[in-house]
Amino acid sequence: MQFRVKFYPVLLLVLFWGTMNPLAPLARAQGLTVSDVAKDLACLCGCGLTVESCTHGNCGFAEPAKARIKQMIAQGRTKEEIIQVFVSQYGERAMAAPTKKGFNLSAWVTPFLAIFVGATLIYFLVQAWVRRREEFLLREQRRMARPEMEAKYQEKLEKELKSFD
Amino acid sequence: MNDIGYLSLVIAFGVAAYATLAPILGVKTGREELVRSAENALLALFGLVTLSSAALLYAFVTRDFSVRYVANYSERGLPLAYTISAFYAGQEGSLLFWTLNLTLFGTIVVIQNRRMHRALMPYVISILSAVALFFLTLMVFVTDPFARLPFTPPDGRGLNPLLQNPGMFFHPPTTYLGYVGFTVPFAFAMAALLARQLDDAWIRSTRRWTIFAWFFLGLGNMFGAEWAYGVLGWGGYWGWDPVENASFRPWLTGTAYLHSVMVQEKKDMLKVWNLALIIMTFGLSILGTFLTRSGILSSVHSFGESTLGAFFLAFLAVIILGAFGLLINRLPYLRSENQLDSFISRESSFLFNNLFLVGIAFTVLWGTFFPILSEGVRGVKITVGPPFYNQVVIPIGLALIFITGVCPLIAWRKASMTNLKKNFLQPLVTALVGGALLFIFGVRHLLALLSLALLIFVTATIVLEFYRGTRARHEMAGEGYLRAFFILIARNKRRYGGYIIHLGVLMVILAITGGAYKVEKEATLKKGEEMQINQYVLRYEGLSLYPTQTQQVAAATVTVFNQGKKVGKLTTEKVFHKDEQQPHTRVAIRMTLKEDLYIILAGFDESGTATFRFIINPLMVWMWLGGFVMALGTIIVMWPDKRERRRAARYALGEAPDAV
Repeated sequence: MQFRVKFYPVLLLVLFWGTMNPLAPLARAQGLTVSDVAKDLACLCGCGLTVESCTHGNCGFAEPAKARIKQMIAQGRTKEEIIQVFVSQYGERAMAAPTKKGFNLSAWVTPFLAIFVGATLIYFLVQAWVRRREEFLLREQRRMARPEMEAKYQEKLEKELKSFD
Repeated sequence: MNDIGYLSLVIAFGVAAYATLAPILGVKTGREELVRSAENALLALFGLVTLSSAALLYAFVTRDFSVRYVANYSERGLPLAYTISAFYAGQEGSLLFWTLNLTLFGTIVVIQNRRMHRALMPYVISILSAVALFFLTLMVFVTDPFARLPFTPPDGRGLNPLLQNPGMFFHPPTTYLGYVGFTVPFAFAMAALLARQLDDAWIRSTRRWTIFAWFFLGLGNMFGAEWAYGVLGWGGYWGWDPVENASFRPWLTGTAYLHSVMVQEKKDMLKVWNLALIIMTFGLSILGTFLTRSGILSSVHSFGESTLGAFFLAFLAVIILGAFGLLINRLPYLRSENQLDSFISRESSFLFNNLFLVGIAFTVLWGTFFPILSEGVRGVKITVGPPFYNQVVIPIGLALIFITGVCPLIAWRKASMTNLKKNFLQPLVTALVGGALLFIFGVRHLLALLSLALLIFVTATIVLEFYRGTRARHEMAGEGYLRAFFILIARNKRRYGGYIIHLGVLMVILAITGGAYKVEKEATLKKGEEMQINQYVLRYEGLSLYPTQTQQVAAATVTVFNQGKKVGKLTTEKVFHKDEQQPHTRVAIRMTLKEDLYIILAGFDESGTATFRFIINPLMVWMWLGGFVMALGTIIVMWPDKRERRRAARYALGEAPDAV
């Protein structure tokens, strides 16, 4: 008990200084940055990454895109408006993620649906295993409760074993 | 030497074909000498592939630019270390490297099993050789690493400057070790099915191989992340690139497998599921190799001119159809009397652990292929990138963290209320109090708050486990706490090594959670000007331009003040390589336990005015520290254990197992 009293305040302190302290000063809201928009736009240079993360130093798509984003932020446009400008020019593939409507919705729903189906399957499977265990235990209990049957089977078993010899 | 290298591959091709067929023939005709001969053939195969690899390495080191591969991936000014790493920088070399690792592992398997697993070994040898045969076929007939150019250029095209980095020196080989390593448990699993020896002997004997492969694949991903963070210069470490995803998937299913085999070892359950998991893991490894060479997906990792997609697709189809077909055929032999005492038990928590791990793997696979599906169905090209993965994977990941806390401590068979209270009440209270305090102190990002509370919960369960074990030893054996702590780990390597791996994973998740509070600013500064980001004031000191042997460098220096106190100078660079059109950036990072200050030189002009991106990445260093802790845990888990070795040997020799 003495340990628990000492242990938990120490653990709490260690965990909080490790996690909370660095985060607290950073929690204040920041204005819209180029990165905020660029991370939601796909780079179409063929790298397969986003405008934010394109690995090409002077990417022919990402660099002009960033300059345009910067310009539009300065004009006071919102993130959604800026993304829409790119979509109208390059099509849906300009967005780094599919929209959440129509056929694209299936992209978002399917993983959770799969998890749900899997969880349901596990639930019924485990229930069946539990039932099987209960039935097994019940059989054992009955068997143990009938010593005369036990003796009868014992006798039969011994006979059969003898016939093997 | 080049001719020797190619000739070795040709002979190796023939030897691999023999080693694939001979053991099967040996089993069918009952001639054990054929099996032994195939084992020796596998050893010879390793020798031949080593000789071929040495020849290619020799061509690189001696700058033999008559070899097309050498000319494409190296140059005279390339340092020796990167000349060596150029060996696996391109398609042909990476295939050779794959085969080298595979035949090395095959050799170790043969030596380990001279007296053990005699019923399984013919099939194991055959499967390992068949995989090697596939790679050798590609190298001999399709993409020869020793192919010559019609003329010898005076210098090579050089190695991509982005690949000239220590992270990239280690990233490919560690990833390959992971991919290739999974071939061994896969081969044993298939052998168990073919030989109808479906107890858990194959699992016990390949446990270390699986951990080895899992560890190196994880390490490969970690090196890749470190490289992306330190070299690519966009302030992140994971871009959900299709090929990053490709190496993440088998790691996830491999993790699921490592957990679910414990249920088979302990309770003789989940036999079919474990076999399915190892097939999936190996299949996903091959899928990763296929994706880099297919050209069907755009990726920074792709081998641009690759023509091997169709071959890999056919190979993958054979593996998946063959392995699952065999599994279905053997289902009657895999029936086990699955029974459970309760839903609230460790067995079912393992099932949920598997569900979430495989669920994430499925999500990543689904996201990778959804653009192809969308184009097929709607005829519209779309992109599935980081925003999708972050939004879908994070909730599943949070559930997984919770299960990580529950799994190791909940009782086998049936968890009583006493068991639940004893193991979870204190961690739960700690997490709730911790979460509330975090909220009060300003953490308002909901997912980050949830993640941190869960991290506290799981950490508390692990710390409690270590404490209880140490205290028990201290009280029973009279050992001092420190000694008791180390002996506890030494006597239960698998269990406590596992906890240490979990701690490492938690540290990695802590770093990922910190990303919720990433702060970024961009500024164009003249010499002597300052800007502020959070508590930092950054003064631009000026730009210097200088040439090196192969590069032109522009270096911008920034003095950093933290809360008014000067803490040092950082230099970030733009590097223009002589043969590359694109410059690349060398970022400057000031790393502390609390946060990274990350500076990128985004551009500059002739007057010396420079544009910077300043990023604060909270808790970032915990990712790399977590990697070290995971490595430490893995070493402990894999450390030889006499008792376990004796048990595995008894299993392998077909003796009655101990009660587990």
